[in-house]
Amino acid sequence: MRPKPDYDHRRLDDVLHSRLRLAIAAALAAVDEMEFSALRDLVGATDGNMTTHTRRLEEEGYIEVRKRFVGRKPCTSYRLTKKGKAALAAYVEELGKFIGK
Amino acid sequence: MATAASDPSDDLAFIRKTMEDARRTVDLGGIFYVLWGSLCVLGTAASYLAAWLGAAGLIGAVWIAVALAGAVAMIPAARGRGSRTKTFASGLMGVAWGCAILVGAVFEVGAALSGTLTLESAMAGVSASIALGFLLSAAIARSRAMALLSVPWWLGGLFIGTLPAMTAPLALGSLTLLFELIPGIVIVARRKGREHEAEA
Repeated sequence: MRPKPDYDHRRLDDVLHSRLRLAIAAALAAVDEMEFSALRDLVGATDGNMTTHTRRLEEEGYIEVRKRFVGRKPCTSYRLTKKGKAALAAYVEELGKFIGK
Repeated sequence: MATAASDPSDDLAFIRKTMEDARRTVDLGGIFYVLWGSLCVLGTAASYLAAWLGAAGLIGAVWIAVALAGAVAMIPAARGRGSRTKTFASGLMGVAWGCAILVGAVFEVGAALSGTLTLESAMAGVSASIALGFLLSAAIARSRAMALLSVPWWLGGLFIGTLPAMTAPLALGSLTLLFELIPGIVIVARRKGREHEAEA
């Protein structure tokens, strides 16, 4: 497939240019909030991978992490921030330019 | 899962699919079935007692009390406590069960007001409203298991009314135990298992 003239791969967000981080951001874009285990099951990642990639997304300010206790058990939930939504939208727009959509 | 993105059209399809999968993620809320299953067992026992005492007219009030107690107990769940994912579909699931319970309550109250309510028709009405809840939930969650769970409840709605009055609550109690409480306990146990895995 030949890219459209206004497509520039350098404009693609490095943070989202990873399948797993992209999947996490896309999943969180579709829901209000999701728990660690539900998100892990949905994107098909291991616990270790999830921790690494969610930390990167959190450092970029793309996701918010909420830790709470349900009874005596810790429970971690994630939510896509405004910055994360904007980054995902920009990423999708850039991809759309490539395929001419 | 690959760690690097591939071609853009593939990525766009991947994003769409992930978002669609996330939207469909519905917490089946096992605790919901344990809660309502326990309340239905209590309601069944109370209906049985009312009929035994010759006060069948109280059965409608018993099921209103069950519905109110369940609604109050569900407030924390409705606020999202204990839910793994907050989605539009999860919200719809609550509405579906609310509607099913309302339909059952309207049937019971209407029949009680018209003086046509019997113990067996009350039990059949409860069974049919639970069947409706399972079927609507199955449609929202796209869960074949939940659709299958609605079958014994529909059959209960059809046939409990034909049972002798004092046998009807036992039939409803058995349905509740087998097709609501036990599945609820299984869902809760599976969820706890996943949480333990995540903590390990």
